[in-house]
Amino acid sequence: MTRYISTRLASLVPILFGISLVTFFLIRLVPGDPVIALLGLEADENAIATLRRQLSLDQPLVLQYLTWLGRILTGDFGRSIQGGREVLPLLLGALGPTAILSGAAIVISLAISIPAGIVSATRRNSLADYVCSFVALCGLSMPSFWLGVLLIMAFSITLPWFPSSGYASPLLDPLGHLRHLVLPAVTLGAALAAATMRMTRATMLEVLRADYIRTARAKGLSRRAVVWGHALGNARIPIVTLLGVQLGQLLGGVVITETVFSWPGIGKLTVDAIFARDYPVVQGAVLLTATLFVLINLLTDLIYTLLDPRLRLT
Amino acid sequence: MNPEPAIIPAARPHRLTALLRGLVADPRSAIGLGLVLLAAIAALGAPLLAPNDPDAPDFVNILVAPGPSHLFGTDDLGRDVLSRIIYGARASLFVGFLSVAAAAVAGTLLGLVAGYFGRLADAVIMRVMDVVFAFPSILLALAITAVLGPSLTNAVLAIAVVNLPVFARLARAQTLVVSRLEFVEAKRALGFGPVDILLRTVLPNILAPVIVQGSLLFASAIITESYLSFLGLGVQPPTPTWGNMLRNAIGFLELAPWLSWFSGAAIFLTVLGCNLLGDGLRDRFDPRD
Repeated sequence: MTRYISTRLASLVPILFGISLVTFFLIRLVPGDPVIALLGLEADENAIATLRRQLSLDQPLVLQYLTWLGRILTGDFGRSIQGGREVLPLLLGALGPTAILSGAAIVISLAISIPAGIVSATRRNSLADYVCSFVALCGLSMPSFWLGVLLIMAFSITLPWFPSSGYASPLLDPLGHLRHLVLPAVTLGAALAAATMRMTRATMLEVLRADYIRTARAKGLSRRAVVWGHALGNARIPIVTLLGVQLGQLLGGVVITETVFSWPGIGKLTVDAIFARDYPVVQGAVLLTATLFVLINLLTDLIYTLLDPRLRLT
Repeated sequence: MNPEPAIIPAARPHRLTALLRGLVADPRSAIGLGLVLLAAIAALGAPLLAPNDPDAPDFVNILVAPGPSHLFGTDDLGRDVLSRIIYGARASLFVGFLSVAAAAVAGTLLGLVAGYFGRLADAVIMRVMDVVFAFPSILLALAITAVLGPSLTNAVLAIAVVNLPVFARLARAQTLVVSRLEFVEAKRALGFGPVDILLRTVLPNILAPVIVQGSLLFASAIITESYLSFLGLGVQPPTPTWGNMLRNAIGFLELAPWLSWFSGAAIFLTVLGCNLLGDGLRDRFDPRD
C-alpha cells in the first residue's frame, strides 16, 4: 500500500509540472504585448518597465518560467493588478466559501441520490424507477445557471424566502449564512445528484445480479439486510469513485454557480479577474484550482484502493 | 499491390436505416431524436421560420409579455424572443458540433498514433493529454477564451481542446486492441505502411465508440458553449445565442421572467434530447448494458 501511494505521488510530479507550464504560457498567449494588455495603452513608461521586470519578460523564456516557478513554490503568486493586493491571500480567502458551498452541495446530492438510486435499482421498471431516472436525466441536462435562475425566481422573488445573492459570515451571522447558502448549494448539488443517482442505480443493478446476493436471499435474509448490508457494501466502491470525480468537477461547477449567486468563492474570483484582465489572479486561481483538482482525483484513487481489498494486494 | 478495404466496413446505408428504425422504436430515443431534430431544423431553417428579424429593435414594444403578436414576448430592446431563440440555435449547435467534431478528429488521430506506435509517441501524447485532463473542463475553456478573447472561433477552439483527451484516450485504448488483431498483422506482413494501416484498417474499426462518445459529448459541448456565452466569453451580442440571451435576461427576472424561461428551456430541451439519444445509441452499440 505504501508503495502504491508513493508511486501515485510520484506520478503527480509530471502532471503538476505540466499544469505549471500551461498556466505559465496562458498569459503569454494574450495577443500583443502582455504588459500593454495588462496595463492598457495609456500606461506610463515606468509602470510598463516595472511590470515587465516583475513578470521577467525581459529574460529568455526558459529563464522566465524558472523564475516564475521558483516564486510560486515559495508562495509568491505576485500581486493583483486591481488594488495591488497579494494574490495568495486573495485565493486562500476565497477557498473557504467555495469549500462550504461544495460541502453543502455534496451533502444535498448524497441525501437525494443514494436513496433514489437504490429505490430505482431494487424496483427496476416500476413507476418509481421511471420517475427517478427521468428526473436524474433532466438534472443532467439542466444548465446549472438556468436552475439557479429558476430557483431565484421561485424562492427569492415569488416567495421571498431566501436571498438571491451575497454572503454572510458563518461566524458572525450563522443563520444568515445558511439562508444565503441554500439556493447555490441546491443548484450545485442537483447536477451532482443526477450523475450520482444514475451511477448508484447502474452499480446496484450490477451487484444485485451477483451470486452472493442470491445466496443471501436464499438463506432467508430480509430485503433490507440484502440491499443495505450486502449490496451497498460493494456498490459503494464505484459510487465513491464517481463522487471523487464529481467533487473535482465541482471545482469547475462553482465558477457558474458562484457567479449567478455572487458567492465570494474561488469561481467568482476567477471570473471577476478575467473581466478585470487581472492576469496574475487568473493565473493563480487556475493553478490553484487545477492542483486541487489533481489532488482530489489522487485522493479518490487512494480511497478506492482502501475500499476494495482486492486492489491492496497489487 | 491493391490496398484492400477495411475488414469491417463503415456503416452502409442499410445499417443506418436499421439503426434509425431501432432508435425510433425506442420511445426514449425517439423523443431525443425529435428534440435534436427540432433544434437542427430551427438552426438550418432560421430565416424561413423566424417570424421577425432577430436583431431588429422595436422601441415601442419593449418587454412585451408572451401573446399573439409575439409568442415568446420581446426583450429589453423590443426584439422578438421567438426569432432570437430560433436564430440562437445556430450558434449553440454550430459551436457544439464543430468543437466536438474538431476534438474527435484531432483526438482520434492522436490516439491512433499513440496506440499504434507506442513508446515515445505514446508517452509524450498521453502525458500531454493527462495535463489537459488535469484541469476542470469549464475552467480551462474559460481560461482559453479569456486569453484569446471572446468569439465564436475561440469558443469552438476552447471546447475542442477541453474534449481532446477524451477522444485521444478512447482511440488509443481501441487502437491497442485492434492493432493486435490478425487482419492488421496480416496487412503489416504484406508490407503496407503505417498510414495505410491506421487510416484504412484500424480507423474504421474504432469508429463506432468514437461516434457514440461524440454524441454524448455534443450535449456537454452545448452546455459549455452556453456557460461561456452566459459569462460573456462566448459568441458576442447582438448575435443571439441561448447563453447570452439568458445572461441578458438576468437583469429582468422580475419585470420579464419569460426572457429566462425560453432561452433556458431551449438549452435544456436540446441537451435533454442529446442525452436521450446518446443513451439510446449507447444501448444499441453496447448490448451488455
